[in-house]
Amino acid sequence: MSDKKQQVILQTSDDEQFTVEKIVAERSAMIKSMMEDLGEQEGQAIPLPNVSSSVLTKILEYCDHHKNEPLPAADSSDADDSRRKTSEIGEWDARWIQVDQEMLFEIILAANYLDIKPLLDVGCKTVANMIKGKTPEEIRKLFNITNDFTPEEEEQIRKENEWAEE
Amino acid sequence: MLQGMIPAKRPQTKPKSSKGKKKRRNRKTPSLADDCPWSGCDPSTYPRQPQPQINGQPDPTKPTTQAGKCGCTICLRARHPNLTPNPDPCQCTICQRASLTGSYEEDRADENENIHLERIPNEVWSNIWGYLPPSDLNKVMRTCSFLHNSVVPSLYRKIIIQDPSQLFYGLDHLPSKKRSETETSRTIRGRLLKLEMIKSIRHLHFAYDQIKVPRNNKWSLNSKHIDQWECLTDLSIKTSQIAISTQLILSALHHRILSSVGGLFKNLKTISFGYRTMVPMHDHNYYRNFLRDARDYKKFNGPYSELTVTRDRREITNRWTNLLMKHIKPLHICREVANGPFGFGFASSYEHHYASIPHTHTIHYGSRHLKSRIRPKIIYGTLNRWIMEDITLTELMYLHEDYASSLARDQMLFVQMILNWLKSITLSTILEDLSSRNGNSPGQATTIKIYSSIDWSVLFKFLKIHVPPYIINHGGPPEKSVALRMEYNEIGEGESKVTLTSQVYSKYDVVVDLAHIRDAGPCPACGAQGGYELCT
Repeated sequence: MSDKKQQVILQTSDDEQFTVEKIVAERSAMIKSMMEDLGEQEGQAIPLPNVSSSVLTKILEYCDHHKNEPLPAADSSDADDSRRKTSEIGEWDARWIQVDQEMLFEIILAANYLDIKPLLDVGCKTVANMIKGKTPEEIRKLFNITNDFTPEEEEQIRKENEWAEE
Repeated sequence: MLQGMIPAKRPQTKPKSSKGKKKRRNRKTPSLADDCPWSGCDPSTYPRQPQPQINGQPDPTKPTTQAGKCGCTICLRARHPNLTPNPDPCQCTICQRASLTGSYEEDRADENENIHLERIPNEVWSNIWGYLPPSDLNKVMRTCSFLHNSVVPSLYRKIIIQDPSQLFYGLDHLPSKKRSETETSRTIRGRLLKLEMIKSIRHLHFAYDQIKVPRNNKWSLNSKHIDQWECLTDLSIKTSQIAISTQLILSALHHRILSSVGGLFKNLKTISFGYRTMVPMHDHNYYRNFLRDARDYKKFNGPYSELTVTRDRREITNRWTNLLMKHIKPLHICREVANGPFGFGFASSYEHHYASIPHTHTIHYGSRHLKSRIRPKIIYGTLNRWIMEDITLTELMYLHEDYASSLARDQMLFVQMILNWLKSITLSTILEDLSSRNGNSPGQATTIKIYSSIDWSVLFKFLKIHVPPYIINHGGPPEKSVALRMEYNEIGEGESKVTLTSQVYSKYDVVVDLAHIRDAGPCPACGAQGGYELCT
């Protein structure tokens, strides 16, 4: 890393410090606004109490790869309305997100907390793709869900939502 | 009846410390027939046999075979005329939970083994559901109560249905009239009531092509595209089934309890009728040919007659419209969606639309108008949302054959042509609109949505709109559609400015989004600012 580039220090929940380029850290709208609030104070670490170092390492990898892409507009209320429901994931992203489920949900939670919208979308699409085409029992197995319905309830729910069956 | 039932149940009742699951398995299916008007109140669990664990106070003196009246205000038993009060604390499972957690809805929290799911915030879940089709959401719903409730708003936002009885299944599990205002009546054993689910509906689409009719072999025209037009066959049967559906909805709307809980379709904004599936733009020629064949080919055996079918369908949808306007009052009823609920927009013929409130103002201008040179009709309102749909490159090529032959390879010119055409009709329509208002000023926001399937990459390049590459690279039309927003502002005397912006939609989002209704400017009729609800 060259000295000319602006650096930011991020401090994770397990007290590890990461020094990253500002342009990388700014993928996170939350860090970006935090830096704006804090001003340019040299050497001051930004605390991220909800993110562990292993997750942050992974996320920084993503941010680094996408650092040169334009940031999504902050006031993208229109974009929210027209939620893009294509579930394809970019090639690099798809490879990058090949992690175990625990890590996947950690990444989603961190992306939500750090407000990295494209990353959150990648995570959500991945989860959606995991669910696609599975039976309820397979989904339960996938996410370790305990069935808290009685058989009667299950039948009731099936009938209530029969219209959505294909 | 109640007294006879309880001793039989009692031996199975486990102490509270045992797994909640077992307790539930032993429960009787809630029934409305018992004296408690609330189906969530299960007579077999009331009164519960006192357990030494409860509040650390054994209460052996309490009568256990007598149904008593509960002293707690949350419990229905308190208001029940035929029951005598129970001493506090009430032993029934419902208000015990209520007094412990403050809400019946949370009654599963202490038994919840799926707590790891709740770590993910709700907005993240709904983001995930946004990528799943209804058939998958349906399966997710059946996994557990937490995901069940989480999926409801996403699954029930836009409903495509052919038989309302499916929609109403489960509505007999109702909160009582008295309890309708309290939070606790929204769920039954932690699961959202069907009633609550129906309240999340914003768009209801009735798909008449989904109504199953016996397949008539004489109809197979031996083309893979014909399947899509199966919807045109046996329409008379379908319309009669729609008539039956009408009766069903009507009876549900007049249901004694349903009408008392504050309206079934509280959030319903749009009702539409039409085909279920989207017809890709490039198949429109097949449609045209098919219709032409159908008209010419009188030898078709079977009940098909375009005239009677059209008349029947119109009559049915008329009846529907009146019924729905009376009881549900949606913002917008579209009697015929041209391309299905995920298609390129609502039908371009004005007579299919019924704007229910003065703040909606819709113009549909499609290729039909272009070809016939008929001015689009205007549904008066104040929203100034004009919808232009069905504008295709081939359409334009067809209309301007001389252009088509010489310029076919230069798409930029076509885009230019389209834009010029759009501008001219836009401005002339606006002017006509202005003059017909007799000098009344129009609303500030004039939004024109244009649904088209021209080559996006060229259009975007031309308009200098940045669009993420995956949108352009994937599939192209008709998977994606773009809505161009054209804003028209009067700058000064005789001067005006037209700006074009765009929104990219995937096929699931193309239907007019009524969220934009709030963008409407002040109402020229009454001057109300900011939204249709304020219009007098």
